[in-house]
Order: sequence, then C-alpha cells, then structure tokens
Amino acid sequence: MKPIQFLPFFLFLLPTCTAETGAATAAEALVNWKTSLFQPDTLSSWSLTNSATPCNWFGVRCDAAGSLVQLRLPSSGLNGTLLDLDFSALPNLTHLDLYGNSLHGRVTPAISAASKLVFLDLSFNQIEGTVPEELAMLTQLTNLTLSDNHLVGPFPSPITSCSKLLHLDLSHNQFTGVLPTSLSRLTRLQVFDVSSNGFSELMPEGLANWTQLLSLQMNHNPLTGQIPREIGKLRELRSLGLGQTNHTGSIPEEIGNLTKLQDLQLLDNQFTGPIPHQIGRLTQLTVLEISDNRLSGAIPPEIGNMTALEILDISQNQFSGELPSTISALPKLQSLIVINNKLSGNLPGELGKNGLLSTAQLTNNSFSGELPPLLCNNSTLRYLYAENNNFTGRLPAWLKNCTGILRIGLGWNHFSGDVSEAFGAHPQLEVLYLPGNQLTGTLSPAWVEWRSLANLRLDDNRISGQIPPEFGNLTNLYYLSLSSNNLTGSIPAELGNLASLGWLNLSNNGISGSLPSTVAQLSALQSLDLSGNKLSGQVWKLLLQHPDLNYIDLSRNSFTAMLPVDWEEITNSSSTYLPDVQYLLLSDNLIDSSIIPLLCRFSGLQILDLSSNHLSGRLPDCLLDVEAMQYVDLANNDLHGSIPSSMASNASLVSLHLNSNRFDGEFPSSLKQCRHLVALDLGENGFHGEIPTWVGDSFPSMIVLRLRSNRFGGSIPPQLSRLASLQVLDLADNDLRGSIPRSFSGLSAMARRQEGRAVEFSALGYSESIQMIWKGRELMFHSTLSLVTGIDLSSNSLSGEIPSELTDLAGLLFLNLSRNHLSGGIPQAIGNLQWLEFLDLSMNQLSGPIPAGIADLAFLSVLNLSNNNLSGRIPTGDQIQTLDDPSIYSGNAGLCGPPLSRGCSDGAGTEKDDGLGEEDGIIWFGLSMLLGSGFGFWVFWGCLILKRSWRFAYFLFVDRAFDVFFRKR
Amino acid sequence: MDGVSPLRLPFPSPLPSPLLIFPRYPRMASLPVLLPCLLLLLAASPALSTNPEGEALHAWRARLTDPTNVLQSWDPTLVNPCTWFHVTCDSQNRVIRLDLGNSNVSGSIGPELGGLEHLQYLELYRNNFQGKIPAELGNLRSLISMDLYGNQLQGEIPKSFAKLKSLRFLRLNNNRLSGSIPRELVFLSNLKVLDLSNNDLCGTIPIDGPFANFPLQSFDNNSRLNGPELQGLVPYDIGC
Repeated sequence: MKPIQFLPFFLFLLPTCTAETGAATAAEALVNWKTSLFQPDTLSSWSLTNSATPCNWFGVRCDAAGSLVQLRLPSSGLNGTLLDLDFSALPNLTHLDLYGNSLHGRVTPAISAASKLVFLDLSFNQIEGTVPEELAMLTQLTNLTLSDNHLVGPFPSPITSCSKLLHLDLSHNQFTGVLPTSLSRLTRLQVFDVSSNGFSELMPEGLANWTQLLSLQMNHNPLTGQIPREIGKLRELRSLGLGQTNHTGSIPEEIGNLTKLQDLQLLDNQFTGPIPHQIGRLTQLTVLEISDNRLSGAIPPEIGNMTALEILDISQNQFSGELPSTISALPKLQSLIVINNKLSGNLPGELGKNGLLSTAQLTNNSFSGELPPLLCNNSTLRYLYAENNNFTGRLPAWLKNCTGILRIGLGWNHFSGDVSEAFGAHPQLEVLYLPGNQLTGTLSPAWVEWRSLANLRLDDNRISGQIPPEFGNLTNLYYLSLSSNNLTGSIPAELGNLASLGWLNLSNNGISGSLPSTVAQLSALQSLDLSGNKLSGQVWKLLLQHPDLNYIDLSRNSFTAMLPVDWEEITNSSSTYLPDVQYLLLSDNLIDSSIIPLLCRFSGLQILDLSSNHLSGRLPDCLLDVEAMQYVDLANNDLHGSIPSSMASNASLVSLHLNSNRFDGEFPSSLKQCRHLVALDLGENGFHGEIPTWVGDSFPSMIVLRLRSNRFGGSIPPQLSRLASLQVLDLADNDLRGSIPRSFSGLSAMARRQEGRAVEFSALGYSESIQMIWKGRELMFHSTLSLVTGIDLSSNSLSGEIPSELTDLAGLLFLNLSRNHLSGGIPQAIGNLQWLEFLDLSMNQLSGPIPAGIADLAFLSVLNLSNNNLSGRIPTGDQIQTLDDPSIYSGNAGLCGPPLSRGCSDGAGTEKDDGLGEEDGIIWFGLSMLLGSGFGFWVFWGCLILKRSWRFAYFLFVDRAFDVFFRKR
Repeated sequence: MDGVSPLRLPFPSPLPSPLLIFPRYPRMASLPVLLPCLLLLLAASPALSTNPEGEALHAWRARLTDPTNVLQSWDPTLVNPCTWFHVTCDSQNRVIRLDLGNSNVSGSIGPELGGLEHLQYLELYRNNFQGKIPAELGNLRSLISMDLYGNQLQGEIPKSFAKLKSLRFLRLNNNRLSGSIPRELVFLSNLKVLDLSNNDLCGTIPIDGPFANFPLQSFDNNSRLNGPELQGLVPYDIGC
C-alpha cells in the first residue's frame, strides 16, 4: 500500500525566555547524548564550540523563536541508547525521527517530558523491552511508529489515551497477548499496523469505531477465529492485510462494503467456503491475494467487475469449476495465479485481450481444451505455467510471436504436434519445460538463437531425429533433459561447448555411437544420465574429466572399461582431478574387471551398480572396502572365488547383491561387520557349508535375506528368527535338512502386515530391487518390496511337520514350502494368514484334511497342494471356489469334491458342508409332491365333474368292476 | 521481477526432479517478510507407467475408498502391475486375476476394468461397491469367474455380459440389481454356476441354454421375479 501522507504541522507561540533557556540546555543535552553514542560520525556538527545554539546542527530544526522543535536523524548510523538523551531539555520537541539507526536499549520513560511530541518514529532499530506507560502522557501524538524493533510484552494500552493518534505502527516486533478493547477510543486512527507480532485475538467491537481508518494491517499474527462482520463498517479502508493470521470460517460478505479498498491480502489462513460474490463491488482493488487457504466452490463471475484488479492470486485452494469468462474482461489484469486448485474446463476464450497479462500460472489443475488465442496478446506475457493439466491440441500458434516470454512450463499435458515448428524468436527465454506430452518432430537448430536459455526439458515425448550440433551454442544452458524420446544419431561433439551445463539427461533414447571426446570440456557437469541408449565408449575417461560430477548413470549401453596400461600414472598426475563421484550406475554394459582398481580410488562412492556386465575373476579386496559404500550390485557377472575378507572398515554397507555369479566358499564371515545391512542377496552362486548362527544376531535392520540356489547344507539355524526386521526369507533350492524351526514365529516383521506407502526402501534415489518367485513366477520387485513379507524354503530336503507356529506370521503374503519331505498335517490355523496370496505346499508328504480356514483367505490367488497324501473333502468357501483348477489338488489320492471330478462318498471327512442347501432341497421336494398330487387329483375329478358322459362312463365301469369282483366270490 | 537472472536449480538430486521456480510479483511494502518472493514448487514428475493395464487399475483406484489400505502397493510408476498385491499376472505380464473380496473397499466398479482383456477372475465380492455394473465388463472375453456378490450394486445386469463366452461362474447375488434377466445370457454356454438371489430383479427366469440346469435357489428373494419363463405365452419382462 502507499504510505498515508499527512503533514502534522504545528506552530507554537511560546514565551521567548523559555525558548532561549530551552535552546541553551538543548544544545548541552544533545552534546551529552552524542558522547554516549558509538562513533557518531554523522553528528560532527554537534559541538558547543561550533555554535552555541543547535538550530543549525545536523538534523535539528528550531522554530522562529529559536526553540528546538524537530530532531530528524533517519538512517544516520547512530549506535547507542536513548537513555542519555535528556528530554526535559527539549520541552518543545514536536518531531523525533530516529528511523533506521542502531539504537538499542529500552524506550526511556523520560521521553514523556517531551510532552509536545506530535511525531515519534523509532522504527528499524534494535530497541528492546516493553513500551513505557509514560508514553500515555504524549497527548499531542498523532504519529507513533515503533516498527521493526525487538519490543516485547502486551500491547502498550496506555497509548490508547493518545487520542489524537492518526498513525500507529507497531509492526515487526514481538508483542504478544490480546489487543485491548480500549483501542476503540482512537477514533481518528487512519493507519493501524501490528503486522508480524504475536497478537492472538482480533477485537470485534473496537473495529467499528475506526471509521476514519485507511489501512488495517494485521498480517502474520496468531489471531484466531473468524473475521468479524463489523469489518464492513470501515468504509474508508484502502488496504486490509489479514494474511497469515490463522483465521478460519468464511470470508464475510461484508467485505463487499469496503468499496474503496485497493489492496486485500488474506493469504495463508484456513478460510473455507466460497469467495463471496459481493467481492465484485471492490472496484478500486488492485491486488487480491487469497492464496493458501481452503476456499472452495466456483470463482464468482462478479470478479469481472473489479476493474482495477492487476493481481489475482487464488492459488493453493480447492476451487473448482471453470474460471469465469468475466476474468478476461478485467482491463488491468497482469497476473493470474491459480496454481494448485481443482479448476477444470476451458480457460476463458478471451483471456489476455487486455494486452497487459504478463503472468499466467495455471499449474496443477484440471483445465482442458486449448490455450486461449489471446494469452500473449501484445507480447506482454512473461511467465506461462500450465503444467499438470489436461490441455490438448497443438502447442498454440501464438507462441511463435510471444517474443518477450521468459519462462514456459507446459509439461504433463496432452499437447501434440511438431515441436520444431512451435516456436519463434524468444531472445529472453530462460526456461522451456515441455515434458510428459505427445510432441513429435525434431529438435530445431533455430533454437540456438535463444541465448538466455538455461533450462530445457523435453523428456517423455515422441521427438525423433538427432540432437542438432548447433545446441552447442546454447552457452547458458544449465539443465538439459531430452530423455524418453525417440532420438537417434550420435551425441554431437559441439555439446562440449556447453560450459555451464550441470545436468545432462539423454536417457532412454536410441542414441548410438561413442561419446565424443569433447564431453571432457563439460567442466560444470554434476549429473550425467545416458542410460538406455546404444552408446559405447570408455567409462574411465568420463570418470576423470569432470571435477563436480557426482551422479553418473550409463546403464543399458555398450560401454567398456578399456583402461590404458598407464591408468595409474594418469590418475596420479596433477592435471587429473578425481571427482567425488557418489552414484555410479553402470549395469548392463560390457565392462570387465579391469575397472575395479580404478573404482576403488573413488572414496566417496556410495552407490555402485555393475550388475550384468563382464566382470570376471576374483573380486579385488578393495571394492567392498570403500568406506562410504552403501549399495553394491555386482549381480549377473562371472565373478568367482570367495568373498574378500577385508570389509572390516566398511560398516556402512546397506545393500549387497552378489547373486548370479560363481562365488563359492562358506557364508562370508566378513559380512559380520556390516550391521546396517538391509538387503543381502547371495543367490545363484556356489556357496556351501552351513548358514552361520551369527547371521541372526548381526543384522538388526535386515529386510531381505536371499540365499536361493546355492549349496548351503545343514539345518536352518533357529537364530534366524532374531532378524526382527526380516520381511523376505528366501532359502530355496539348497541342501538344507532338518525341520523348519518353531522359533520362526519370532520373525516379528512378518507377524504383521507392512503398512505405509509403496516406497523404495533405499536412500539417495537408488531403488533397491530383489528377484522373487511370486505366485510361481520369477519377478523383480522394486517399490512394492517394502511391503512384501514371505518365506520361501522350497526345493530343500526339509522334513518333519510344518510348525503350527508359522501361522503366527499373520502378515505373510507368500509361503512356499514345496519340494521338501514335510509330513504331518497342514497347520489347522492356516486361516490366520489373512493376507496370504500365494501358498505352495506341493511335492511333500503332507497328510490329513485341508483345514477349512483356507477356504476364506480372500486374497489367496495361487494355491498348490498337489502331490501330497491329503485326504477328505476339499473345503468350500468364498475364495477357494475361485481356485477351480483341479491340478492344484492332483496327486492326493484321498481328496474329493469340487473342483475334482471325484465325488465324496458319505462320511468323507469334511469340515464344512452346504447343509443349508440340502434343507432347501427337502422343502422343495415336499412342495412339489404336494402340488403334484393336488394337480393330479383335480385333473381326474375335475374331468368327472365337468363332463357328464365321462362321469357316467366312469361310475358305470366302477359298478361293473364291483359286480365282477363280488360275484366271483 | 527477479526472473531476469538465469534459473539455477539447487544441488542435483540423483533423480532429476522438475524443480520449477515460480516468479511472483513484487510484494507490497507491508509484507516484506511474510513470504519469499519466490515460491518453490516441486511438481514431481508423475512418470506413470506406459502399461495400459496398470494405468486402468490405477485410474480405477483413484476413485475408490480404501479404509484398510489394501491397495497401498498399487504403485503406478512400476512398468507393470504384476508386483502389486491382489493382482496376478500370467507369464506375459498380463493381468489374469483381481482378488479384492472382503476388503472394505467402496466406490464404483470402474469401466476401466473393461480394459483388462486377459482377466480371468474378477473377485470383488463382499465389499461396499455401489452404482451400476459397467457394460464395459462385457469386454473381458477371457473371464472365467465374476464374483460381485455382497455389494450394493444397482441397475441392470448388462446385456454385454453375453460376450463373456468363457464365463463359468457368475455370482451377482446380494445386491440391489433390478430389471429383467437379460435373455442374451442364455448363450453363455460355459456358464456352470449362476447366483442372482437377493436382488430386485423382475420378469421371468430364462430356461434355455445353461439356465436349464440352474436351481431355483439361484433366483431366490427377487420379489418381482415371476418364475420360469413360459415361452411364447407371456413377455419375459412382465411385471418389470
């Protein structure tokens, strides 16, 4: 708002004698105060030797009688307190302006001696403490400004007796408590500013008295409750600031009475309900800011009547419906900010026709249709953000002529068309974000004219062709992402000229060829993602050329190691700077083991993925010994030998994947140090020997333990049950013997369902993944891994009974005990495993009936009980009736009932029957007997009754038969 | 405007997230410290999978109420839905089962489900599903079992079900379905089990095709259902 101007100008007619004595002591008082200040350089004119009267001293003004009336020293570098200024020597002082100095200490109570003070401004100092009550004696005061200090305590209510106050500014202090009702006495008040304090309540009845009020500023106070309706009585109000005031309830419709309002700030409260349509009466309003609330409903069309409006910010609310077309009629609108709402439909067709619109922020709504044609009318548009909507159609043709635009964000919509033809000359363009659309065409060499371009994102589109060599001239480019398109060709050598480039992402395209040597010139490069292309080249070169590079993803390419013989000399030379690489993802390439000694030099390496490469031979000691290393994936290589024993220093390892190699030896004892291990995958190797008992005590955070397809023997150590975080235990396909430990009921993470969101339970953006047999299929689990719980002990030589304690693990999603020698019955309480999706007990010697509880496991979708000695009737129930493939029960001679074709003889063991159905059958049988006999009765007798001739014939026949019978007797 | 200097993104995170710095207009003098001039908005890349079945399921999920969080694993960023819980795929990563019986889920049965063209088992029984059965379910031409019983479904049984040529089990009992039994269902030659009891169906019961074998209990407690059809004598939707 504009500061309210007023000129308090008073003339004092005072006796000359008092004026003279006053002036004399005034000079002494000023000099005394000066000496108390620290280095008062600006006050060099303040000297008694200079002049006996202070009237021509710096900052001093006297009246015609020579009496000091004004002391104006704003921003004069004064450092000290007010305590040493003798106000009693300045009895005629009317103006004291000490704004913007470094005064500290308290406001001295002695200031009351300057009883003629009209204007007092101590703002922007470091004054502390409470405001003295004596201020109340300054009854002439019209202007009191104490803002931007460190004042504390409650509102200084004595000043409410300064009844002439026009301008009261206490903003940006640490006042607390409630605002006193006595404030209502200040009926002349024009400006009331208590912004940025700790005031906790708004006073309703006081408001109505301030009929002269022009500006009411209460921003950033923990006020609560609703805005009082009395606010509508402040009809002179020009500016109202109630932002960040914890207000709730709706915006009162009385706000429409404030027709002189020019500035209205209601942002960051908890307002609910709609915007009252009366807001349309605020025809002087230039700024309407109601962002960060919980307002909802449609935007009232009356907003179009606010003809002075320049800035409309309704972002971060829950507004819905379309933007009213009246908005485009606002003649002065410059900024339209509606991000993060639920707005939908087309934008007003004439939006921008006023030729002044410079900011349109529409991100995170559900707008659809095309962008309106006049949006960049007059080339005033600077900022266009419309990301995450449902806009369709081609990129608007007017973009070509929108020459002044600075930032364009149209990502995650459904824009289509040829991107190369969509733009024109945009000399100031800094940001062009178009990811997540359906754009086609090629990258245009003409874009090189955009010399200001710093951020270019075109990822996730259908752009084809090559990267133009001309892009090398976009020397301001800092962020370039072209990932997930159909780009082909090679990386042009000219890209090496992008000296500012920090981020380069060309992943998931069809880019081929080798990396140009000029890539070495990208000295600002921090993050490089070239994964999922057909690139080749030598990895080691990239690793030694970019001092700031810390994220490298070259996965799924054809990179090789190809270290030169003298690589050690190169890395030791002073011209080589070993960057602090933290993330190195190299999976699915052609890299051999020669790279490992070089990688061991990168002591900051935290994540290393070398899976699916050509690593062979033994694993050098140094790699797992890198101190910062947290995630190591060496799966799918040809490494052999035993695991290095020197991991003593590496206690930070979180995840280790060594699966699908040819490692052998016993379970690596060096892992005992890795107490932070969360995932350990030693699967598909040649490890042998027993699983050591210390495993159960060494990994308190372990979630996944996968030892599948090795030659581990002996029995399963019961101590494994101490892995309290373990969710997935896969010991399948080994030579394990003995029984399943009863102690497994102690695997507490499996005893309950894992809740929360599907997350990658890894840090640093690298996602942990594990291969699992899930529902009979080999699947790679990524984000859902954090929610999986299961046990796979299949294909071992386990014997004995399935411990009933396993059914305590109520969170299990899968249980695979197939292909063992287990005997006894299926645990009776198997129905406890209510989340079970996959149960395989096939190929054992299990006997007895199938427990009825299995029938209602609502999520059981894959079941295999085949090839056991189970017997009795297959239970029926909601879910089991959907598992209708008979082969899941085959090879159990004693089983009967659906879905097997073999029916059950009476008395076949069953735990649940359809007794209700049989009862129904009996009723129906009886009913039909009754109906049938009734029908038969009336057909016969009905005919006899109705047909006389039949009746006679019948009785005649009966008589004759009677006769024959009795005559023979 | 501050926006003249080139935009710099903060320290790169390994996933290049689309950080956008939104310019704001200059603040009024009274609000110098309330908000920074820049609002940092992190518009996280949705990075949705391109798998149409995953997209269909996720779109449906977005409209469901799931108080017990049984759908928590349905992460749309995965390449396919095969590691989502309550979803089962075949060897070609196509969804063949959806098991959400007894899950406290409410909402409507989405037309999106019609996109799961290899679905064999649709198990949505004993939940709080409301609204109509979408006709799109008729596109599930591999469907073997459809269990929608024990919900609050309304409207008619879609005629499009006549296309479910593989269907063996159809249980729609204990809902609020109305209208007549579509005559087209008599062509479902594989239908072995049908349960339409405890609804508000009307008209008569077909007797052709598989209906010749269904017990009358399958139609119990439909007060306006008039018993087996008398072909040619009365219209099948009499009393509807």
